[in-house]
Amino acid sequence: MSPTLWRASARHLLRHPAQLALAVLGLALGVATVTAINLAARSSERALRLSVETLNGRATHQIAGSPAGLDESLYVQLRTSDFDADLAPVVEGYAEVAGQSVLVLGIDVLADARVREFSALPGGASLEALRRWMNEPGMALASQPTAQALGLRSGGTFRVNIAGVTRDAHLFATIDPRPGLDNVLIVDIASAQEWFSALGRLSRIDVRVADGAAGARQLQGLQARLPTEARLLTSAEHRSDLTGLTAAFTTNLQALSLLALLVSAFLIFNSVSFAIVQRREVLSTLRALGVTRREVLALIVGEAALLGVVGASVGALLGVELARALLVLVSDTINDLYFVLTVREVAVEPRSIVMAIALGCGVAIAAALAPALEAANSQPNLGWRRSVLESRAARGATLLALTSGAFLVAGALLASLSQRSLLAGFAAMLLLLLSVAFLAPALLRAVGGASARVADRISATVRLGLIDSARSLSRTGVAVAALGVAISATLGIAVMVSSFRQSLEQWLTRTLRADVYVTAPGPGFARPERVIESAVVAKLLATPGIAEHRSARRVSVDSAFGPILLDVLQPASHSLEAITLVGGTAPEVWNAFASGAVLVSESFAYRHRVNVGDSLALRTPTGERAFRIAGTYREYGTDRGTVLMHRATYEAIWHDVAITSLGLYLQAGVSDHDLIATLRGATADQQALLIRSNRDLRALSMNIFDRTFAITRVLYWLAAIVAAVGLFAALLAHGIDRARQNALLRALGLTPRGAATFISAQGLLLGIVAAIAAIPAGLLTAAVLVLVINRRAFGWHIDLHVSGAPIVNALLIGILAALLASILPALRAARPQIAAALREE
Amino acid sequence: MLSLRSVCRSFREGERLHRVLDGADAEIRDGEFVVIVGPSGSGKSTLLNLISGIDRPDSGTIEFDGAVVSELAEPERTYFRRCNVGFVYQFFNLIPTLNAEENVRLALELDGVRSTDARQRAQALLEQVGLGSRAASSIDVLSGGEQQRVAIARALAHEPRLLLADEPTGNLDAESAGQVQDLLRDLVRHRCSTLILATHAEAPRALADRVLELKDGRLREIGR
Repeated sequence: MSPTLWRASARHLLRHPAQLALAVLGLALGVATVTAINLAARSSERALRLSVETLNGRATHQIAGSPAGLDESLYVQLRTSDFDADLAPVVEGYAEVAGQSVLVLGIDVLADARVREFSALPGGASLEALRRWMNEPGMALASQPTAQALGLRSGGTFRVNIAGVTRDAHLFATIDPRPGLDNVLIVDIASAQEWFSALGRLSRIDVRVADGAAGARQLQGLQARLPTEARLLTSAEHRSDLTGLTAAFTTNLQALSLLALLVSAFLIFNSVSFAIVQRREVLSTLRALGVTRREVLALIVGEAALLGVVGASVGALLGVELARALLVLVSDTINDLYFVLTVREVAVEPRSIVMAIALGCGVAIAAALAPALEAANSQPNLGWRRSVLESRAARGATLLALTSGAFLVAGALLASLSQRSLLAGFAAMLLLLLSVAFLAPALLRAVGGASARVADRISATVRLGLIDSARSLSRTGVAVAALGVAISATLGIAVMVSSFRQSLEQWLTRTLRADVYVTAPGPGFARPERVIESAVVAKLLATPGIAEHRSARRVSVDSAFGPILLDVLQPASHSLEAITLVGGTAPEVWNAFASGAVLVSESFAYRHRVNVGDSLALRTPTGERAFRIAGTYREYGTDRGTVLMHRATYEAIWHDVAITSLGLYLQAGVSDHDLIATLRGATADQQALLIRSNRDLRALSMNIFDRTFAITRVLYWLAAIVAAVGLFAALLAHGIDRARQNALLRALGLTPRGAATFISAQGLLLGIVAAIAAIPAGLLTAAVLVLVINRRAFGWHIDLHVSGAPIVNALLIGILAALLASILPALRAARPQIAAALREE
Repeated sequence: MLSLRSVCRSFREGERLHRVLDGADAEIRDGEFVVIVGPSGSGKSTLLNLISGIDRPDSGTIEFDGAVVSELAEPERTYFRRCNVGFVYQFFNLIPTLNAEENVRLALELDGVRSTDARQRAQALLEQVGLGSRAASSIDVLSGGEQQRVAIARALAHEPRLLLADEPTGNLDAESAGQVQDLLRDLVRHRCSTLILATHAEAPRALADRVLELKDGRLREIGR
């Protein structure tokens, strides 16, 4: 193609720097959002993978046991038998040091060196070093960055808080930094057993077998020697068990981040369409001169690709910075809901950056393709007539409105007919959002015309502005569509979050019935070390003023579905009424529960496709055992799902009497505030427990919920900002296109204020129309998010709660975005270079 | 030789069908200078668009040197235009982001002339139309007459055998209009190209070999 043609194209872009900058900015924000979420999620995943790999070392397998771990005699038996693979016993748990969560890894330093490189003592295993390490309690190793982050110095003493009990520790030495060792303390196994009250127990035994046939033989021999309570799993299985936990969470975040990119696509579509409209005479002249359709197409798509490369590259760089901010939110959520994870830095993988740039370019080219094809296929002579363009846009608007209806029906059908597919759920949501986009131009035409008739009695300028917007669909149609999509997406997200919040609030009100809750503190979900010491339990329950109590224990046990969360409950006389049954009827379910059956949460039932009457196989110390599922219940604590078992059943099988939390019901007239003070005073010297009133626990739960959805709110605002940028770009471009007409109106006597009113009225119309189109679709989007996507991703049922606030907010976002976007174009319209503008063709 | 046989073209305006050409016939010889006259809206521009292959007739045929232009599909019609046709418009239709020399060079590059060669030829053409010193000037600083001379240079750059001019002087003052007409006639004669000039003005008639009047959708020869 002619280089002069490319030069003309480049100069056109550079002659309109504001338009170019806004298009680049819009795309950059969309790409930045997707990149940031992707990097934050991948960085968390990478931190988890590195941590597991480093801590597993060269171990190929591990022997795991029941919630209380393995009897250490198993290790002794294996070591003293003729089993020849490398074995390393481990006792691990979570603690707090200087207010930060740390993983305490208890190892046998002599056995461990064959499995993990980092566990060798610094300076070699001299007898003196070994003597001190093994004989002095509380000796710990930490990597240099960890020691620095926790404020520890080599040889110094520090305090370790485990489930509210404080232990003294000494930093024996620091070891070289290595990925995966952030916030890890390595201690001697005996110290770990003492700290975690696990004397004679092991968390697991790491195994390293040889490669090939020899390894297979070793594994066969090992299997034959294992007791029924022990399970042999590969290191890869262990890793995938962990990474699988956050899959639904990260998939949802990534899907929501694509909303911002979708809005960006409209912005690019708008920019390219406008660039074509602006150059309609030039393109027609080129076609008349002999430029082929294919060359016109290549020219426009080439421009879009260039825009894509620049916008996506800027977006990828912005995304890395944004990821640093979002990483905190993502890792907080993973820590709140899934497992303890320390992520200090964003891992910028070149592949992610290349993918982001490719995605941005792809979006830019795809968005440009439709207007480029239209421009290429237009008759050269018709291109010169503005009226043809607008009448074509008006006909197109009617066609698009019909398509919008078809999308709506297709979205509804897809959502209802696709049984469990999350992808189909997101596709249904996309169709709904596109239906808004497709309806917007026709609505703009209708509302613009109608409001112009009303405005006729108020102001001729406003009327002119409204008519001009409604009749300039080739310019305004896409802008209003982009804003409509952004508003309906943000409304959908807002209603989804508020529905979830209200459902959670109702659930907490029903579920939390005790007056005071006592919990063993500490990081991590279902960690066995989170135990209220038995002497402390006795002291707590002996405190005057307590009418009755219920106790709970949360552990992780193996099942046919992998590790699952087991909630063990000793109910109080009426506490079972607090549990919302969604499968099974009350007296039968609770009778069966007391007799050994289990209940499963909604998420668990959905995720594992089990129901009332089915049986659930759990690995117990005496081997695999089937438990009848007596009922299903509502639970919003974790999307992994939980299994509820009566304490009597659990204790009889697992012989674990530990308690993680207590719910205390007070005698009439006893103040929870006073009782909490008494309980704290009574236990402070033994264990620093978390003792909260019912009200405080509910507030804390809602705070965690809000923290979990903080990142969703960030995505919500990013999509709204991209839409505002799009609208600003459209109004600015419309203003440039209308410069001659504005100048003419000013020459005819329109005041500067009148010119500004003219543009503001147009902006306001676009904002209102976008909101009108977006509100019903936004509510439908919310319904899809709540009833389809949340169900399929997390398995829980949320009631749809629609209040006026999100709708009013959506309307305000539309109007404010439109008015803000109008300011600069209105100022430009008010002060045009009248003579110059009139001279220009 | 350009032949038009029973060429019809109509446009729909709402419910109404507007028949612009209704069986137009004409034979135009190579190197001939033909002026087509008719009032505004009589279909002169439509006729030029059909001859150049920009538009297609509803019925009838347009043939140029054995090629039936009216039956060519895309992109052959574009290639036909690129090789054989030069266009001069009333409103010049220069590319505003290119300077005078680049506007002329564009037509050459589209025809496959290499960039350095195209640059030299564009410069020479601008000198021929009296704008050698304004080659690097932006379009928006040129007067109407100068812009039209750039447009003529562009139209003739690839040495087309058919030059179509649609009201080329309609937007110019009398003096500039006279200069442009003379320039067009001289260049076309010099290059032995066929020139078809559509106008509703009287002046160009005197310069033409033949004058065709477009009336009620048909062409008929009238006196100069």
